[in-house]
Amino acid sequence: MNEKFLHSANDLNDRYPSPDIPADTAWSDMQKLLDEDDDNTIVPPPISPSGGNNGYWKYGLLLLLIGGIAVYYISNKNKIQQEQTAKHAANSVEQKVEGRKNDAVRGHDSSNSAESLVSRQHKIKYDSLGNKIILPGTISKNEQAIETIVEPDYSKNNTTSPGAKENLTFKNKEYRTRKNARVKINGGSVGENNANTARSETSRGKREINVNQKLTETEIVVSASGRKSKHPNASQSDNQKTLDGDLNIIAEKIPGSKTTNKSVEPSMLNDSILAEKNIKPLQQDATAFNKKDSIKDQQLVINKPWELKKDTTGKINNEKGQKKITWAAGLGLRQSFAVSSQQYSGYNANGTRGIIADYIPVPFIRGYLSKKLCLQLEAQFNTPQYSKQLLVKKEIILDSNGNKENSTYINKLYYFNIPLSIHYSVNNNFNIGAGIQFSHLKNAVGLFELKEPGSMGTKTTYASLKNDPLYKEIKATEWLILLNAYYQWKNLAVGIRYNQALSNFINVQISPTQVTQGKNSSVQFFVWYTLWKNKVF
Amino acid sequence: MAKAAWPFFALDDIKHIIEGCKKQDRLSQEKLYRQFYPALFALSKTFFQDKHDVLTALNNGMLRVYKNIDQFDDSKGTFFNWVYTIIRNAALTRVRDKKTDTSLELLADNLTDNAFYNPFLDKEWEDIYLLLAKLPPTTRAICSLYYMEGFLIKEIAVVLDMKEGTVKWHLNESRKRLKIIAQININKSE
Repeated sequence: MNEKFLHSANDLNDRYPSPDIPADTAWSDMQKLLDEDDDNTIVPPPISPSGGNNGYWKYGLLLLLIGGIAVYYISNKNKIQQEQTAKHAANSVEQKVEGRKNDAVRGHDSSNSAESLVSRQHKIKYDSLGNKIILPGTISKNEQAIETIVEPDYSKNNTTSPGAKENLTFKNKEYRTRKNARVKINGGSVGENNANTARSETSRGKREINVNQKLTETEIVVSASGRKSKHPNASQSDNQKTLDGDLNIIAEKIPGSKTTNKSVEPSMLNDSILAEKNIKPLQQDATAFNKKDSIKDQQLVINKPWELKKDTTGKINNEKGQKKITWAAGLGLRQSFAVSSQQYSGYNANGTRGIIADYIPVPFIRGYLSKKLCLQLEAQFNTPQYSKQLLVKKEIILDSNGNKENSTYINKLYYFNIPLSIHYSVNNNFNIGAGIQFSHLKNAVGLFELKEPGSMGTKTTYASLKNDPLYKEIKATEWLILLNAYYQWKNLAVGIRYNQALSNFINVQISPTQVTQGKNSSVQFFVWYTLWKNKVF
Repeated sequence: MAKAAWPFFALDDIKHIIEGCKKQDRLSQEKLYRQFYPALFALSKTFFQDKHDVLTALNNGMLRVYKNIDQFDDSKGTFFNWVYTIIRNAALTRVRDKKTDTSLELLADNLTDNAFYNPFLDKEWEDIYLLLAKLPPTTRAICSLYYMEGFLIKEIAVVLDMKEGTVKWHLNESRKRLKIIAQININKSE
């Protein structure tokens, strides 16, 4: 400390001249200066009883929770509805079959009874050439008209188990196709139609489907629309009454098969065969047929047989009934931007020029919970985080030549990030997501400023703070929330992401009146490329 | 020559005030300010003719005192000397900011016997201010530092960011001017 002369004459202590400016005026001027300085000083916020951060993390978690529930609800809405309807349909089928069984036991002539509603699960059967025939499920009250020609055979295989319902056989039923193909079940002559007639006959006690058709399309929907066939070639014989309701038969031809004329024995169409073909969504299809309000106009069009292998949730069931999740993996690149009052820095983690290491590709793995919903986990190495020029240390060295000021500012931070996000596909290409990110501090670049009294300017240098005691003042780990939106085209996704930390990464007291605090946030532009994906969708 | 301690406060009082200032207690800050104001104003006035500059330098220095008062270490010196040094540095910063750059190196060696003449010796404050008022701003600051604050030419050169020759020229110039003024005053008194 330089004392020099300090007004060398000691006897002047009590004889200083009266100041030109009164002390009151000088003090009021000083007060203004102090007040202005207070306004510019960062006042530390009061610490909340909840442990700091002003409870922002609670809002973040609440937001995440609400978002998650909303996404889950939207994605599962259809699934839940379908499950409920299917359950209802199954119950209905069971009740009706039970009723018919009782009727049979009582000797009731169900064919003429309004109560003899024939209910059954529709069946998907394949003939020897792979043509798929789906027999529909419930027949509603509107089917009374056909009861005269429909005579269920309960003489065999009539058990109370649900599986037994599939063994119900029907006779004298004829279904008209869009292509005028007919499928007649259980005997009876079907009038001659055009060349595209499909005929299915089943004799009593022996279920047999005879399909004789020339199909020019890979898909044929056989619809018993409840109206008599309006096709000019349609036969109007008594036993050719079309179904008055919601019977549907879908005869589907596997691509490549032009003509089929095969008889299929029931033994060929049992459940084991269907199981081998991995046909699962029988219940779902039954649902479609049992919707009361839409029954009349239902036409189940299946032009992608492989879609039957999966349900609407996107999960597929393997042979053991276990659910599989689609996985994908790839690499991404991201570019961070300085936001708010953050400053862009061209220095790398070592405090030298060159930021090529800021662009290390980001590997990611993605698990599809459904067609529209997926979880993504990333690993971001050496991720730059721009910062405001935050003063973290100020040192004033009193010297005879004047005060030397050593100031240290944070210039840039480097983190290892693990973002976990959930993405929802708004439409086929546009996706939004939210999630949480764990960050671990890996390095920090500091700006060292030296202000010497003899020089007009300041000397600034950049260096890594990793070996500086100040490094310990920076929070080593932190949690952030993230929101992103991106556009996906095939395997390429381009989007933008916003990160916001839930807590301060720095909180140091520079002086009694000055506290430095900072919270990380960033905006990233990113490109993702999916390199691998197990094909389910 | 250094002042041992500032006599205006008892030891307990100054400690109490310092603690108050550390807590940003405005009353303690005012007490400190008012107590040191005359001495610090006199110090600042040696560097500036304009009283606005005097007060600005003083208050800028006091702001530094309040902001850095936690860095005061009583083992290194008295509190007054610490404050005094800060105010002086603040005044020098202002001088440096206001100084006009003059290239007077060629005149650096143009020193005379006046180098050993101290124009402020045995002068009252009023007379000192009167003499300083006759000098240009930079010459005045250098003169104050050299004769009243005991700075060496080398130190002044560093503080004001100028060459030693320039400092010497300013000192020589101030002595010449002040000697003439003093001679006139002596003649008047006779």
